[in-house]
Amino acid sequence: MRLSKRVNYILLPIICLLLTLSALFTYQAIKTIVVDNVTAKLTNKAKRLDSEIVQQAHESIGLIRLFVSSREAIAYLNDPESYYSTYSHQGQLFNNFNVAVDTSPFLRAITIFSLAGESLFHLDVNDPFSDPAISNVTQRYIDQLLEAKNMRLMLSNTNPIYRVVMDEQGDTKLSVVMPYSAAHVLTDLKYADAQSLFVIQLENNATLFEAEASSIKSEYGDGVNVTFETAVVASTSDKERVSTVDAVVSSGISIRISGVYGAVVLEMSPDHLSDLLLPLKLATVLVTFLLIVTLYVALRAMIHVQILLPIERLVKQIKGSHEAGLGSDLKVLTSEDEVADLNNSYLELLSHVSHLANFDTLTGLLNRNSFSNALTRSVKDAIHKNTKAALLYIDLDNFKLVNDTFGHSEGDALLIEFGKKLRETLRPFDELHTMSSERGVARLAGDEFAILLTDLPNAEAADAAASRIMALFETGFAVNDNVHDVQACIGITIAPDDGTEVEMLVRNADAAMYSAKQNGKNNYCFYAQDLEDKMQVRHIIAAGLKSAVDNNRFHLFFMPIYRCDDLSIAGVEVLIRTTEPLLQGYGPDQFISIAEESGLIRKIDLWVIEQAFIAQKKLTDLCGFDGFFAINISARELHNDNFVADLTALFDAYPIEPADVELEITETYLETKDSRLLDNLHSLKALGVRLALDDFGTGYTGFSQLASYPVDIIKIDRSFTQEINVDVSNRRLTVDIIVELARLYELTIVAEGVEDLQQLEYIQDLGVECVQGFYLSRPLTYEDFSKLVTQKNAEDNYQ
Amino acid sequence: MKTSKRIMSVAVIGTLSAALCQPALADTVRFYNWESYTAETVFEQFAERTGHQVSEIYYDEEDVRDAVISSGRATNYDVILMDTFSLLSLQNGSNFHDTTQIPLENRKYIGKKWQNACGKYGIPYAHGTLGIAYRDSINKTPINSWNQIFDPSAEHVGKVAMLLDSVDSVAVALLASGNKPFSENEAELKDAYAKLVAQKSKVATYEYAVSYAIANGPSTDISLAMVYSTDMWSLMEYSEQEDWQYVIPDEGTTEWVDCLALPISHPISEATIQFLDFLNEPEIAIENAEEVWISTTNDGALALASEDYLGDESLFPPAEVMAKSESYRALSSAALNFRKRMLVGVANQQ
Repeated sequence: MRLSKRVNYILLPIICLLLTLSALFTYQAIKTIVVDNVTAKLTNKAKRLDSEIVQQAHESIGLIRLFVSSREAIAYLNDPESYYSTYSHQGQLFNNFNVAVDTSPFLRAITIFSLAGESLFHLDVNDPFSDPAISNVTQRYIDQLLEAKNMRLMLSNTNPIYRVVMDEQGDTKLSVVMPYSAAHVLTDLKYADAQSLFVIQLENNATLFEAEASSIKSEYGDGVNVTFETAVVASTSDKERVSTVDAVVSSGISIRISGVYGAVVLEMSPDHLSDLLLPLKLATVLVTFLLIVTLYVALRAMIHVQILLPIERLVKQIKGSHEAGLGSDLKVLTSEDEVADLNNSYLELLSHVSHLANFDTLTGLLNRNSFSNALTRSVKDAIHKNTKAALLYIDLDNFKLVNDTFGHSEGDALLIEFGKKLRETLRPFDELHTMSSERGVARLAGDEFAILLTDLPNAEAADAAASRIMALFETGFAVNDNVHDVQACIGITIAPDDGTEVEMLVRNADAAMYSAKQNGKNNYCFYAQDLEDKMQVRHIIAAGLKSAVDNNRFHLFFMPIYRCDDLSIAGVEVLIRTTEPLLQGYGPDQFISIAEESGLIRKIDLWVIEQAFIAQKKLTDLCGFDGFFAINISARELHNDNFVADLTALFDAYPIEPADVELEITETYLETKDSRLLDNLHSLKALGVRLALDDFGTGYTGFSQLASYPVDIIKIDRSFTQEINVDVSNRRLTVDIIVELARLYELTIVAEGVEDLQQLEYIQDLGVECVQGFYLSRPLTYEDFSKLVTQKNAEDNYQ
Repeated sequence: MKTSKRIMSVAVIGTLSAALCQPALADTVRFYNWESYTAETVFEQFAERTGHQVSEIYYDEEDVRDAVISSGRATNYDVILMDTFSLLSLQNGSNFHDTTQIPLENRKYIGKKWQNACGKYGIPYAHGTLGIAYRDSINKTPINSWNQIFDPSAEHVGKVAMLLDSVDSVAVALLASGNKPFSENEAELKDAYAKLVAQKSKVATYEYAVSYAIANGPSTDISLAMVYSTDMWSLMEYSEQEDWQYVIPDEGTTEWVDCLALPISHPISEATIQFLDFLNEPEIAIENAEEVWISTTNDGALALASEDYLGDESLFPPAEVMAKSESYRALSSAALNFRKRMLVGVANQQ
């Protein structure tokens, strides 16, 4: 799922959850405050109602007391019937009450009853003509008085009774009942008798609570209910009154204040309470919703802008850069945030991968792939600009020896060092001619390197470059503390002359390099057309060899070796010949070297040895041959650890005396100081065979090497024998020197390539042991040689 | 020495004699009276003649005056101006002296009718009727019914001054419905009550019109009032509104008599007697009557009256009008009780 979607799925639920929780808590907290507030308000209102009752009661009682204490009241009540009382006192009482009503509008009707229930005075200001009515309370009080066993006791409590009643309509009124006597002081009635006692009944307007009730109604509508519980009438002193407040909050609110008169109850219905809380609920929901939306939008936008967009941008750039060319659009970002980190890491990675893709990890040079690309480009360039580009194909000789002898770490170090050296040597050129030196130098594989030189006017620069590289190996190649006998062969092709396709150029360079190798180590060679031919030749020969081996088309020729003194046959050198059609026209010197390259030489060598053993046996048995057999083996056998074993196996298989076998190894292949080579030489020698250095004088065997090699024979190369015919009066013939050298090291000498009498005589004069050459005999078939042996034996027998 | 003693004794004797020979020491007669009901000149002349001062204290509501008396506060007064009804009613409480025993030289001048009305306990002072006073310049409809004060026409609404008296106000309300002014019929009384209640919203003041005029002077803004006949002059004098007219409505009226009564709470002073006598000197009586424009109860004064005076119909209504008038009579307790309650009701009417 895409990040942006995932963000949605994560963000929204979390925000919703958190904000909802927060809203719930907030709501609860505020709800508590609101409910407390309402409860407090209602309690206040209830308290006001309570105090209104008490207030009105006390005021009423006070007024009654004044009213009945007036002169008019006393005069009237002492003589209620007379006209005069009616005329003056009653009228005055009316006035007095009216005046009281002005200031205390709750007063309504005052009636004074005798204990017999007779009304002596009655005025109802709401209806002046109304008839007096005795209330239940009053009647009950009168009954109590009359029934009281001890009226005195009852009357000693002069507290009036007040009673509050609420009717169905919610109208509440106060009434007061008070004992009175016109014959006694108001505060001391206890000795009054039934005759003189009156009961005053005051009925107030049912406007108690009116103001408060309407205020409650206007504020709370029908949500708050005021009820009143009338107490069972008891006359207690209000001084002792204790009003208790009970507030109960459950789903609704109930406030109850109880006093002497009963209880005032204010109830807020659960519905109304909910209504009060509704705005809060709505606000909470609305605010929460808005917050969720806003927060979600804001966070989303921020995440999008700060995180997702940069990432998407980066992805787009990366994708774009893939098409345009690796990393072309991406730049290093400096913003020090995660996206910049990602971008920069990716660039680093790209660079690294690019480097890996394009460069050889070991040496840091270009790899085959990128070199190939560079080559393609420079060829195009050369064609376009009408300049030349040169490809130098470099192969390191004897590198494998280093690996085998010193180990791969040494070998790797060598390669790295060579890479460095290459770059260094080319730097001056490259500054002038090529792209940077790194780009021009490549390691193609193993020990194969290549150099690309561009923008050349001609091939001279290539030549110079090759020379400089050659120079690196003049004194061996130093790595760490070792100097290795490693050389380079360089094949050079010039584009566009030698080709315009990379493959062709490379192939031609390879051919040129092979040619250089052919011409001797540490060489360079420019490609020429005939190299192509030479390459072809190589391919043919390689194929021919394979075919010959597979089809067993080799046979041996025998070259007799004569003793110099009596020209008797000392031994015979076996030479390989083939009937293989592919190899027709090519001599052993050509195909042997190719066989060595392919490793086929081992098979061939062993075949030669075996065939030689067979021939030797036959010759010995049939012809009485008693000379030695000289067998050419490839110097590669000296690196072949199995060779000694194979040879031993052959000796075991055939009854040939090792002392009769001479193994010939070409001198040139023994140039390096190789301990393995020496060990193998010694192993061979240990078998009992004789060892000969073939084509001696053409190589660079040093005196110490000669001393260390366990060789027995030196075979002087034909070129030195040919030299005998040439007049070299100012110096000694090389052949002389070689002979003296051989004498020094007590080595047997065989001179090769004697082609005329002069040479023969000279050689004989030198006192060389053996000699061979076309003058004496050409290489013979087995039949011919066996005939020669038989003949020579016969001749010797006659003498 | 003997000479100074002699002088001293002569001085003492002389002072004593002077004292004994003098008439009684200068005294104050405290007169509880309606305002503007007795002329200032009377007091001045009296003081000149006798050396006694008359201190006048006003009342403007009979019920208040009665309350003062019945509550014992009458001890503050020497002479109280009472209507016959109140006098007789209050005398049930023995509040007044018997005046028949007072030696009054000028008693002979007092009209018999009036003396009968006042009875033993009062000396007649004035008589009159109840009627409607209106301002001619404002009035649009001829006034001929008591109903016109209970349901005044538009020009008078809010400009009505009404008496609230348990007897007189109820009387005119009864008359308005064609009933007898002293009816004891409960239904009639209830009807009268209804009238009084209905009238309340149109009434500007329940203060007595004359008191109102005295208080407000030329800015008196009433135009219709229930008044006693003897108040016309005062009304015009103090309001400076010359266009006040007095009319006795067709339904009839009550004939009242005012008497001077002497509270029983203290002995009658010499000054009081002299004052009573003085008031009944015909020359004084008529001077007073013509000054404050009241109908005198002194026949001797009538003989000296001017034609203007005698010709004023408000003071001396024609016989046919008087035929429709009733004198005050005693009411039963119940009727009185009812009337008192009526006033409570009207007072408490919102």
